[in-house]
Amino acid sequence: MSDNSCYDFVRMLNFLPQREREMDAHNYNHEGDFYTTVDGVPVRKLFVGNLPTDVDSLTLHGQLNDKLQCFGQLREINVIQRPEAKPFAFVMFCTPQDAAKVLKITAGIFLARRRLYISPADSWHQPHEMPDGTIIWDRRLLATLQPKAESNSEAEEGDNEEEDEEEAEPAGQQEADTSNNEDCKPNEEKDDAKVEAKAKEKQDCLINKLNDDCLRLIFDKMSIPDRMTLGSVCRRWRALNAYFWRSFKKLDFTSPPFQYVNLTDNKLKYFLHHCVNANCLNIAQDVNQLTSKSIISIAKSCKNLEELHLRCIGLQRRSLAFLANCCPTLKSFSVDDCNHVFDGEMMSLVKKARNLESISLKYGRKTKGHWLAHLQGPIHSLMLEMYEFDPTCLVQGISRISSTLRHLNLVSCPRLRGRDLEAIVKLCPDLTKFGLSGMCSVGDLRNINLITKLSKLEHLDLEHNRYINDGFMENLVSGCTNLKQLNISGMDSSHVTEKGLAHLAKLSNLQSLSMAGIVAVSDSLLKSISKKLTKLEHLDVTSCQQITDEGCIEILNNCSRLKSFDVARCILVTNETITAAMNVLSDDPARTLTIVCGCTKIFDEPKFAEHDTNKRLKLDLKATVYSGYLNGFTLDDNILLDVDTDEEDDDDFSYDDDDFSDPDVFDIFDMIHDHYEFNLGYGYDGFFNGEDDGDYLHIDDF
Amino acid sequence: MPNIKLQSSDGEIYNVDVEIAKCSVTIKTMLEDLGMDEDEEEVVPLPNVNSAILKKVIQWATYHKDDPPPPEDDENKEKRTDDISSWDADFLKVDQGTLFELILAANYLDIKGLLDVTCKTVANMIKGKTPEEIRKTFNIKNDFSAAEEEQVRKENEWCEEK
Repeated sequence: MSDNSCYDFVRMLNFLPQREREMDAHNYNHEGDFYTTVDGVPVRKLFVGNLPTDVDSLTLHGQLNDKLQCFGQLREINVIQRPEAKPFAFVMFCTPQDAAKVLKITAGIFLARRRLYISPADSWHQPHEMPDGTIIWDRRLLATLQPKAESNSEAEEGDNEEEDEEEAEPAGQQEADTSNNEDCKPNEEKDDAKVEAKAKEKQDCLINKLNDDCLRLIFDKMSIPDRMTLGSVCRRWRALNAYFWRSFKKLDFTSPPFQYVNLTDNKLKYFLHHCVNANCLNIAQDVNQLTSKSIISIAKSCKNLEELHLRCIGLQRRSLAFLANCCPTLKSFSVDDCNHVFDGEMMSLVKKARNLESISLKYGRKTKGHWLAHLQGPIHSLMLEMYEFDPTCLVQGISRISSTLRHLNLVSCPRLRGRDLEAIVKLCPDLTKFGLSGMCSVGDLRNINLITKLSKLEHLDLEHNRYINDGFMENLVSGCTNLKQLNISGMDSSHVTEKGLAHLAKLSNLQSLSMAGIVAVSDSLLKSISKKLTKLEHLDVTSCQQITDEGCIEILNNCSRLKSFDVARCILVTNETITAAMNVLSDDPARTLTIVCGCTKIFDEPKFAEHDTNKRLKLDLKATVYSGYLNGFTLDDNILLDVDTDEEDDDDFSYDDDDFSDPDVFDIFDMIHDHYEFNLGYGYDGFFNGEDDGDYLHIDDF
Repeated sequence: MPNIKLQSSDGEIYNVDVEIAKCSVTIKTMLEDLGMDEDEEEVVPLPNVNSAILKKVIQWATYHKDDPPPPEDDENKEKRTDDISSWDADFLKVDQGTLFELILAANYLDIKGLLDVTCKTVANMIKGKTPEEIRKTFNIKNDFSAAEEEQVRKENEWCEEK
């Protein structure tokens, strides 16, 4: 209404964004013949959106009046138009019953062929109803009533809120009647502290006078464990919290904000119960107390589950079959520490999960991998790490999915033989990502050269693969010309020389190159590749100890897209490299660069921080060894699958406990484990003296 | 230095340096969009903010006028509420009513820094408490129905597991 324009202005500013408004649409309760807001305030005032944009507010006012007066007596129509937003209106009915009639119209109310968007206005827009039924139409007057009420009842002890309001009411009503057309001028705050103290005595709940926006902002500052209690405080908080939970599509308990939740079966149940929109679940926390019950809860709660990432979880028999039945949309399944994910379980999963695209299993030492023979489309991505499968089954399975399989990563799978690799390459010429890192005993060098036939490869991971030599490098650059990512870190330096590495310069599409721990990497090599590999964004030369500032500076100057440069443990590299990096950055104000430089002669100088490029140059002084292994090639970045191992055994899939008690077997695995974490770049040969790895590990015992 | 006049809901007028007033995005946009001439002796009415609160807001904005703009919210960053400067902590040693009014004012005036620090202060009052303790702190009425109460109780059991 035109009576007070400032009030309109205030409403404009308080107006929520459309998205939240839509969410609020369901934020009301049905009480008999009328509706209430989440706070229990009867709905008299409605928000009306999707109004025609081409008419002025006066016309809209008239049109709305014409449309809505048939539902009941209208108290007020407020049309708000501003240049940058679509027009909207607040319409107030005299009774909540009349307002409810409008809300119940499901067929829609149309104005100029637009379906109006109608929802209850939020609590703080609604008129206030006194306990005796008197209505304060203008909520702003409440502010002026409250202090008065307090001063009226000051003498009385222990009166509760209701009495308080009753006392306030005569004065309030008077004012409501007389000041309807006046500007709102709340009484002066006489003495804040005093009023506040009084208010507390009277059990006045000040925090719930905040509007939803502000309350949400406060809640948003809380950590997840704290948020879990908020829903237990009162209905309004619970409703606000519910929106928050519903906003999560992805629940990742290994990264913020959920990483500090110590998951248990019941806590997971809480999240599954509240985060109803989550379809992507990562519960692969390093330490957790999840049991097989959780798989059942997940299957029951997340009907739309698409990704599941587990870690060392025990599985009851048929639980994966149950999961596959309940979650037909499952696309990605991955398990770290999958010792207790047995063949039978995996078999039923691959048979029943018809949409499964990605599978990743790590550290399975107890299974034969027979399920692999039953793989079926549309599997796109397969990763097996330290998984003791039978290679014949793998080849058989791959022959079934060769038309869809594009990413294959086999990490430290010791039973793989040269002829298996040959079969795989033949079956899947279209692979775009391939990994054959770790202690794969592919037999002879001829077999490793088969990889170079995969002409569509974009990502290749051969970390710690000791069968690479100069000849392979030559074949690689002529065969796999599309390579974007290459990891040849840690290979045995005796087989590859600077001459072989120099071929890399021909891979002009290369964006990421890891050569950590290769002794043959020298300044002259960096110089020659830096001129050709102009698209390079990530370069890892950790532990390449021949490198000096000269080579680093060449790289910095020539590779203009470089974003991260890992020179950790290159002991000859000094601050000159950093100075060069700063010079490069000051030439190009849009560039950022991270240099990992732990265990070098680089040390942080105050001048680095003062330099104007300091925000774009990040020095990581950690001696992150072999970040390449952990961050480099994974089958599919989206894989989310984790299984937790439980102590309990499934009778049908029990394993021989002797295997665990065999110290030889276990030590080797522990060593390998350590090796991954503290790899100094000497490859596996230090641990496995060139013997057939398979024999060494007594694989047949498994 | 150009000044601007801000009028509180109860009619008091404050003379404020334009640059300080502009830490409120609401006022800033108003000045830019509505083309209010800085030379004119125009009064900006702030009908949602009373004089006591406006005074505090101006005090805060004056102290923080040279602050760099607050960083963008990062969803993945860990939520911190313990990074309140000692000046702000002292400034916010007020009763609940004032604190909430400051939040409303900061929200209305769109002053991100103030909104941030006030919300953090309230969040700190809530943190680590049980639902009953929270109700007690803020005089919140437990308005759950018996059935809801039962559900809430069950959930609390789920969450209490260590």
